[in-house]
Amino acid sequence: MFAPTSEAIKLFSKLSILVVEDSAYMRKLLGELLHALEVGTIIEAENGDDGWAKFQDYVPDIVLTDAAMEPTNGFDLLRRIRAAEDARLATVPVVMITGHCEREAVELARDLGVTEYLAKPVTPVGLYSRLVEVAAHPRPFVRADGFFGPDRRRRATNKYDGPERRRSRSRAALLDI
Amino acid sequence: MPHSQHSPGQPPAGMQVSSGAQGVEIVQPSSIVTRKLGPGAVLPMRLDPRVLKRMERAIEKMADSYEKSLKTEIRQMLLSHDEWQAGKQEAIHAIYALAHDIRGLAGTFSRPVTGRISNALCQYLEALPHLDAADGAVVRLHVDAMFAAAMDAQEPSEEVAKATLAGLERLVGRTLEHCRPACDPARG
Repeated sequence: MFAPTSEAIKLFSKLSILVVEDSAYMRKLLGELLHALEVGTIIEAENGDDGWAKFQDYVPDIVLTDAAMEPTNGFDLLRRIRAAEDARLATVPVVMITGHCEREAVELARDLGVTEYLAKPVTPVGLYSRLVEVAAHPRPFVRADGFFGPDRRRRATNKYDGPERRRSRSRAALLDI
Repeated sequence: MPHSQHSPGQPPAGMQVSSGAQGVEIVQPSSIVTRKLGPGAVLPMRLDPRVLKRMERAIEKMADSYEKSLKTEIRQMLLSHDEWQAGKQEAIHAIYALAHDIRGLAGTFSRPVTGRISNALCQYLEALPHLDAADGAVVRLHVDAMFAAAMDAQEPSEEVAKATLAGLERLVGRTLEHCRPACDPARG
């Protein structure tokens, strides 16, 4: 069934979203796009420290954060959120919006428990789809062996179901998994 | 809004927690949609064209002022480059900050080529052990290319953009090769 748009707008009007971004222009752009979606509460922060303080004050439904910021970057903010003792805080969806699309940055964000990753330049469709994804399809969180974050398996696979599933492919190939 | 309404470390009502194999704990957060709109509510995955139009208008509204800001930033990069070459070390940090800003925004405002060149400059600077190790000519060529791409009403064609980026990439590769092992890009 194709839900009417009003459902999306009704949801967005009830959402609070924390935008953590050091570029004033990018903050303004994201704010304008969220306003266009009629997001109810938009909270802005200039860096990871500011973001963490506002995150605790407002407990937003979703966090949109840049990665590279001074003095505290988005990775540190994500680490603090996922380490929160209160599960309600620790499981808030975090969407990392960044120009850093190198594999290392993506893997770091994933290992710290990022929910979604959105590459700059930001587009309306990209932003909307990430918001709908995190709002409508929450992935279960996994706490295991120093990791706490959304389940990193997005697709079911019947190839292998044993331990160390995320061992490197070459190693897996050697083991004939 | 209050900071927290339940005991630290305890999952709130409605959040299911289960234990898996080998000490793995699974926490199932409730869906925001269900929490806000009630059970059974669904969201369209496709963005409604009317909402899309509104978002595009929001970008268009900012486009003129961004265009001015972009040109000012690139001119500032050229000035900073001159200052840097004259011995003001912190100017290279200003160049990186401006390039970082531009790489994130230019594409949204119909300046994708400028954004890509800016990204190439950032990647070069990020591959160095520290910004002071940057090569003046390499930085200047990137900023000049950004200037050329952004000052005209229309950006260069994809063909020209690809050729420019390929040339800059070769230059960066040679420069980094020259200063190995300190500047080895593989070291990140």
